[in-house]
Formats: sequence, C-alpha cells, structure tokens
Amino acid sequence: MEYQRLQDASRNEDPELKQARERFEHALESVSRVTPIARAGRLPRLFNATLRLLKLPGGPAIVHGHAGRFDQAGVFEGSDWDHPERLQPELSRGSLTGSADAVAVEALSRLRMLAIAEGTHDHPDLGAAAARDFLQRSLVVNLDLLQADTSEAGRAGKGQREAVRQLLSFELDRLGGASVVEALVAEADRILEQRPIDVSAPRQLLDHVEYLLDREDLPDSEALQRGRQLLAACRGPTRLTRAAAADCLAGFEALSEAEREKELAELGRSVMETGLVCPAHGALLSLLAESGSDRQLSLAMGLDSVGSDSLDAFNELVRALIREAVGPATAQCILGLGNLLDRGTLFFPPVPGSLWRLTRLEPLPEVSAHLREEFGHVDPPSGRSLLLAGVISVLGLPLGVSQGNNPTCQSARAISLWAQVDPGFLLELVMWAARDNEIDLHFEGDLIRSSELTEGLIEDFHTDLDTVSLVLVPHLDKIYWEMGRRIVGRGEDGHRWINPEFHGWWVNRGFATTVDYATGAVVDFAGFVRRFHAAYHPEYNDGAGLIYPQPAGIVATDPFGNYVGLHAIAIQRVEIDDEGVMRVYFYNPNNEGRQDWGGEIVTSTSGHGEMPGESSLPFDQFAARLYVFHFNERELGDPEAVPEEAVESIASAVRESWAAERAWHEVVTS
Amino acid sequence: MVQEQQPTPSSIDPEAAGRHSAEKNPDKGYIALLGWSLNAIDAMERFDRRYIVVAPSWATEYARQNGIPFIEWDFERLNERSLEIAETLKKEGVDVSVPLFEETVEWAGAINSVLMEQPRLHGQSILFRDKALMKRRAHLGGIRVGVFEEAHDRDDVYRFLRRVNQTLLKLDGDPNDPIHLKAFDQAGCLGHRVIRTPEEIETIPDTDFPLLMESHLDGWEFAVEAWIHDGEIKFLNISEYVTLGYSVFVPATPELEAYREAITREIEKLIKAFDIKFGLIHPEYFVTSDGTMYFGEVAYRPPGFKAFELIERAYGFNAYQAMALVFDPKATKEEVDAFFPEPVKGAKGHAGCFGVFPRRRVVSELAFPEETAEHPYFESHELYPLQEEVVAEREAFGTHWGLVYFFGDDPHKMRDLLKHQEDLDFYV
Repeated sequence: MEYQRLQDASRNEDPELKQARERFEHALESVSRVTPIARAGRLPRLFNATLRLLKLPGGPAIVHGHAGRFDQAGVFEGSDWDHPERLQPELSRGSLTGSADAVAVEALSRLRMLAIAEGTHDHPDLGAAAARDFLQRSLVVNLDLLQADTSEAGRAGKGQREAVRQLLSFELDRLGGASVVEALVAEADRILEQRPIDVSAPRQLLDHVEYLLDREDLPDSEALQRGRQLLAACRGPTRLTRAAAADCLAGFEALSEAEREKELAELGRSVMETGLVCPAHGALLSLLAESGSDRQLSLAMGLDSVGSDSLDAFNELVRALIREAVGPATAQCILGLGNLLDRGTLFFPPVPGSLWRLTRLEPLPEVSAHLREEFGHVDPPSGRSLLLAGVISVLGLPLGVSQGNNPTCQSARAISLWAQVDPGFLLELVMWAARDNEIDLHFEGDLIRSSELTEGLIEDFHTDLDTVSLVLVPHLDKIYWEMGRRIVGRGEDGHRWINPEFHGWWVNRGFATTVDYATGAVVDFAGFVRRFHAAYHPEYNDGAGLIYPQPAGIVATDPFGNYVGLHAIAIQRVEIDDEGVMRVYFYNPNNEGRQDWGGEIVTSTSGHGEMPGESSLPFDQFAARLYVFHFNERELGDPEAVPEEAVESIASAVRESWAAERAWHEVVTS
Repeated sequence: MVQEQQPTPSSIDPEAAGRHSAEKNPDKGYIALLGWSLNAIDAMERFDRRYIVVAPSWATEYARQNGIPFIEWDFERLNERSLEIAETLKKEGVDVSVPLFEETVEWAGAINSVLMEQPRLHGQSILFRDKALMKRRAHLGGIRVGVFEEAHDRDDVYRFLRRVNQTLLKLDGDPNDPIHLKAFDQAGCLGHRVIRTPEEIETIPDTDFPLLMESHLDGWEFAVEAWIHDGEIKFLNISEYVTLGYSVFVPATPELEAYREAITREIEKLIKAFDIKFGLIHPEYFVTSDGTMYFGEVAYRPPGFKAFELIERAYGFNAYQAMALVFDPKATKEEVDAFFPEPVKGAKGHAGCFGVFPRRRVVSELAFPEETAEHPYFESHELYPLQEEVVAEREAFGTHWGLVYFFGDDPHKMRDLLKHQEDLDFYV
C-alpha cells in the first residue's frame, strides 16, 4: 500500500521534488560506486542532497525508501553511525542541532534505523525492537525540534531546522504517535516519582504529550490516560481549576460546603499522586489562607495526620507562609509545603522562628532581581515570595535538590543534607545569603567568608536550579574550593577534613578511602570493603542503623563501566528490600537518579523500596563504585567477619571497571 | 642528501600487488601512477587494469594499510639514480607510467622512454615542463602565441614591460598594458603575477627568478582537456573559465562551444608541433573578438580545480580511467572509441566549481552564505571551519581555501551563479 502510493506519487511528482530525488539518487549511487579510498570525497554531495530532500513534503519518504542501501553503500563507514547498536538516543540531539553534515548523517542513520524497526532492512548488530526503542527514546528527547521555531533558532540554519522537523514528523507518523506518547509519559513519570523540586523537565515532556494528542487521534491506552492525568495536574485537574484564576475563585465561592470539600480533596489528591500543581490551585490556596477552615487547607494540600497536626500547631505560621509564598506562579511549592507539614519539620525548634523571620525579610535588591529574572515569568512575584517558596520546597523535598548542569555536587548535597537533618542551620544560611550577600563557615579554627573569595568550581553558572540553590550555591562553591585549597599538600584525600567541617559535626570523623591520593592507585581494596561492611552492613555492624545520612564519594562510570569522574552522594540508609536484598539507599545530587554505570550496575529510583528522590543499589554493587566513606568509629563491627568470597567478587567487579587501568596494591599478610 | 635517502625501489609488497593484479585482465596494460591521488587510485581499483602507485614515503603507511600496490619514490629531482625506478617498473612488467602532477610529468617522460624504448619521450616531456621552451616549440609549429621572454632579474622585467608598451604605441601617461609573470615549471596559477607598473616590479621576491614574462592577451580565456590515442583526439572537453583562478564549468556555454571546430584544429596543430601520440593534454587558449586563437600553455597531466571531477559529474565517465586508457599501449582503438560519450550532447548537465578566497583581511569563522546553500544548483563544498582568527594573504594568484560545487541545466545560469559567488563572503 505504502509503496504503491509512493509509486503513484512519483508519476506526477512536483518538479522540485523530482529534481531533489534525482540528485539524491545520483549522489547515493556515486558514493556506493567508489571504493572506500575515495568515499569521503563523495559524501558531502550526498549529505547536501539528503537535506534538500528532507525539507520537501514527501522527501523523507523517498530517503527512507533507499534506507536499505545505506549500509552497503558505505555511507556510515568509519564513523560512529556504522555501529547503530552503540548509538545513544540522548546523543542524537547534538547531531540534530549540529552542523549540516551531522544533521544529514544522523537523518540517514535514523531512516535506516526505521527500516530496521519496520523489518524492511536487516542489520547484523541491531534488531527491530532495539531500533524501535532507539527511535522512540530519541524522539522523546528531541520532540521540541518537531515544533516550529525552537530555541535552537539562532544556531542552526532555517532550512536545516525544517529538514529536522520533517524528518522527526515522518518518524513519528511511521512509528505511531501512541508509542511515543507512551515513552513520554513513562519518562515524565519516572522523573516525577523522584519528586524533584524543579519540574520543568517533566512539564516539557508533557507539553509534547499535549502536542501529540492534538496532532492526531490516538487509540486509548493506560499510558494515554496517565498522560491526560499528568497534563490535567499541570493545567487544572478539575473543571474549576481549568478556568482562569479569577473565574476559578468566583466559581469556588459559589459552591456548597460539600462541593468545596470535594473540589479541594480532588486537588490535594492530584498533587500527591502526580507531584505537579496547577496555577489555579495556588490562587485557591491563597484564598483559603485568608478565609478557609483548617480542614479545607488540609484537604487542599492532601495532608496526612502528621501534616494536619502540624497545621493545627502552627496554624498562623502556615497561613502566613501561604500568604507570602503561594500564588498562581509559585503554585508548585504547595507540594513542598504539604510534605514539609507531613514530615513534621515545623517541630524542629529553630524552624518556626526562622520561617517567621523569612516572611518578614526583604532580600537585597540584587538578590531579588536575580531570583525574579531567573524565574522565567513575564510578571514574576516578589523576591521574598520566590525565596520563601523555594525554602518551603527544599524543606519539603530535601531529596529533590539538584545540582543542575553545574559541577557542584558537593554544594547541592550539603543543601539536601541540611534540609534533612539541620534545617535551622540551612535557614540561617539562606538568611545570610539573601540579606548580607555572604555566608561564612569555619575550617580548622579559621573563619572563611564567601564575600572574600573569588574562586570556585563554577566557571559558567547554569541557573536551571531551585531558588535556594540559586542563592546559596555560588557562596558554598567558593567556600568548598577554599577549604580544598587549604588542604593542598597533605597528600591525602581532603574530604577527610572538609566533609565534617563543611556539612556539620554529624558527619563521622572515621574516614576510609581506597584510592591513593597521589598516584590514583587502588590501595588495600579488601580492607576498604571489609570496613565498609563493618560500618554500614546491618549483618556486620550489629544492626547499628544510620542515624545521620553520611556523605560518601563514588566513582562515576559510563554504561560500559569506564571511568568518568568522582562524584559526591550521601548514603541515606542501608536496609533489606521486599525481595530480601540488602540495599544501599542514597541521595544523588545529579539531575537524574537513574543511571547505568556498566557491569549491570543500574541504579534504581523506584520499585525497590526507595523513598521519592532516593536511588538504590544492592550493597555489593554499591560497594563496587564506592571509593570514599565516613564511619562511626564507636559502632564498627568486625571487618574480618566479612567472607572472603564477598570481598573478592566486589574487587573483581572493580578491576573490570574503574580500576582497569590503575595500579592495584593489596596488603599482604603473612 | 636526497640521493642518500632515496630508498631502493624494489620494495613492492608482493602480496599487495598480487592480490589486486590477480583479479585483473593480464592482457591489458599495466599502469604506474606517478604521484598520490586518492581519486586516481580509486578509479584504478575499479578499472580492469593492473596498476601500481609510485609516490613519496609519506604515503607508504596508508598504502600498506589499504592494500594499495605501492612503490616508495621521492620525485624531488632527477639524477643519476633516476633510471632505477624505470628499471624496477620494467622488471615488474609495467607498460606505461601516467603523471598525475606537474612535478611528475618529466619523470613519466623519462620512465616511459625506458618502458617503451622511445628515448624521444623524455625530450618531449621537458617541453611540457619548461614554459619558455614550450612557447618556442609552439611558435615554431606555427601556433599563434603572445610576445614572451625569459627574465633572470628585475631589470629584465623593467625592460620587457617598457618594450611591450612601446610596441603598443603607448604615449607617456597612458596606462600600461599589463604583463604576466609565471614560474617556468609550476602548475596553473601558482607563481602567476600580473605587473602593470614599474613599482610593482620591486615586490617580486628574488626567489621567483628565473621566470617567464608574457604580454597580456585580451580575450576570452578557456582550457581544453583532450584525450589523445594514436595521435588522434578521442574526446575534447572545453572548460569555460568564468574568472581565471576562481571558477570553471563544463561543458561550456554554446557561445564558447561555437568555436569547437576551430579549437579542434588548434589542438591538432599542437599535437603535431609537440609530436604527441598518446595521453591527456590540458592546454589554455585565448580567443579574441575576431575569433583568433592564441596559445597560452599546455600541461601533460590532469588539470587543477578538480576539472576531472566536474567532467565525471557532467558526462558520467571517470576521467582518470579515460587517462589510463589512452596511455595504455595495449588499448585498442575500439576500446577507446567505445569509452567516451559524445561531447556536449552526452552531458547530463553543467558542472561547475568556485574556489573560495576570503575577501576580508582578517577572518575568524566559516559563514557559508545561506543564498548559496539554498540555490538549487549548489551540491557540496569542501570548506573547513576555522579554529581561530586568521590573517588572509593572497600571494600572486594563490591557492584557494576550498571549492564549492554546483550542477545544473542552464550554462548561462551556471556562469552568472559562479560569477556572483565572487561577491559573497564565505569567511567572516
């Protein structure tokens, strides 16, 4: 059928399309005819002809019609695209928004991929299902390119963008929108279940879902329903909240008491089920803070019994927080507020006072201006509202703090840890930064003031961060850098001294590392792993649970197990999951908790007993990426109780991965 | 030094050579390519003739890795060991050597005089290498040439400029007619300078001497590629220069093609004057408004500016294979006649290219013009992005920074398009 239509069309083809088709076919023929010796010289013409054709209606179908020949013709010879099984969907974005040649070769590769997915072309190293999976995942990360006029407008040429748009649209038609919606919704859900503070990424995915739902009628499915639910959570889960804010409020006033409760309960449930809040919900909660009952507030935030008690005990404060922080633009912080109350954070003695103080704070003009500018809204709320909304979010979702695109995992981890175990201190720092534009910490008896420092890890501060991070990270980063500078020359991993002083006394002073600071060699790995078991594994440490989460250092590796870099995380707890597997639950300040570290070590963020925002790995897998940890010297089990086989199996996983090219020194006992 | 470094040319990798030769027809000629050209090697790989590449040591590794039959040889200068390479090729069974670059033309003459036992071929090749000898030979053959002289220093140039303009009956204060200076033995535009005033003579570096001076010929300049077999023209292509040193396309416009017969007669004169029995020649001519042809120069090798690629794009045949064929002493008349299409009518369109020179003195990035990229005739380009700011100098006619290729139906549109490229910035 498809082929037939193609044939018919070519008979009275548009002359422009005909010319472009002939040019493409001639160029492809010319590439396939030569030997590999001269092929590179022939490719530019093929690439240009490809872009030409893609831009025209019906063009992608013609290129796709030849997709079975690309491999044989040597189009991808000597390039990464020659190994489609190794291509990563996330990296396709760079090609699709890159140079003209990169767009063209990526397009040819994708149309070949489509032919593999559809079973019209066989590739020895890639099956149909894998090809389909690649295209779906790639479409998910590139869907904004499908919509006219994107932010890439400035960089890529107009024609090139149109070629990409036509290409992706063709892929979508062939794969079917339903499967892409499914992938988008699944991706949004996997992010949202980690309850991030910044929900711009899943919101963008949902924008694409909306676009696809408008684009064509899709068969109903579970994913589609979930997609609609998530979209509704953003846009308004009830009839009232879908209206403009003023209409919503008027409509709410007109309801009976019972109807109001039903409406509010539905809103509260939507927030708790999705992690997303619509703007009208913010307007409604503001109204309730003025004139609503405690019960209404409790329903609207979906509070549990602890949350309701918090509301009861700190009624005036909660209402003040809502008045100052919550509005249509900042509605998303309602999720944080509900969690904050449910967690009982207000019962930490320093917290209520600190929050009252913040409701009265007028941040420095430059701080306010910065926050308002970064908020990305035509009419941003005041600096105080934004800061307070940010503080509420961090206290409510401490594991939802992310470092964004900055190399500041240390600072993000510190904010998260303070929000969890020392919220009063965190609020003090926020106060200093917003009011005085500096913070200070002590290191080995010396005062370090951020305002006196210039250097940090950040070269180009990416501001895709939550508000508290925006305010604190530039200061923390400089202080961390300064602490690092002061330990230069000690010949040991400086985290031993820095971590307890940077975070707080509750970071254990016991310190273990297996990487020799000077040479990078792995030293006494067996001793290191035994000690990790004795400190953290309940079966070897007499069941001593972790009281305070502890900073730790891991070796980040890519999906092939190759060394990428060192990374800061926090061990939250070590427990047996439902399947009887001992797991390490940890906080990863990286943007995304789901990571493939190679050697079948894939971090999990749900389904294994994780709390939202936690990552987890089986104990031995975690140990195979660990290189630094702190431990409580008073609660250490017997390292020698750990069986030799357990140690050896972890050691061999390490030797095959990040230590592959490092010297390895074990302690020899005679 | 050079002599001592010269390797003994017996180091043919027998396996590499054998692997390729095994599949090819042993009754056809065995070709040696003098010089390294990937497109030429690719063409020979796909041509039913055994071949071997003779090129400098920097190509050895690539040749070995890609199984290209190869002999390492340094073409720096001819000397008393030059015969070695000829003897080696003869022992290998090679029938003829084909020069790919100006620098290997004389080598091919010397080698072929041994392989074919025709000592005259070496002398002939020297005519192609020395522009002053070449002009004299053409002149003696009754071919119309401009006024020319050799210069050994700047005084010679002053005198020539003055005498030429005196001859033209210029009065004091009249603008001079320019003269052209060219290196004796370099290809095309390399070392080509135009001199109009005595002041400009001071800018010529000492290293450029000796050189050839020529009077300026007003007229339409064009080039020809003629494949000759058994003393006969088998295919004649006319390449139209839009602006010398910038752009060329094939086949030419009907206006230039109108001279095809006259041009063919001129080429026949050239064949006779230079006693050419086989090979590819690439002469340049001027045709004046009254239809008179002036001979510029002739080369015995593939033209620059990727003209072979343009010819393949327009006509579909591989110009390197065509060249090997007409050099091959074992090629038959039938085989050669069957190889070539009909000129002009046999072309599927017009293929042209434009050599990019930065127009600004300081440039920092490649900015390929959108209007060129979007033009339906545009096919590809080989321009490279810059890593840093560069001060662009154009020495004499210089070397372009890369070519931009076009293909289309209408020769006039092609000509105007190529001309228009001169007004665009490709680097800013």
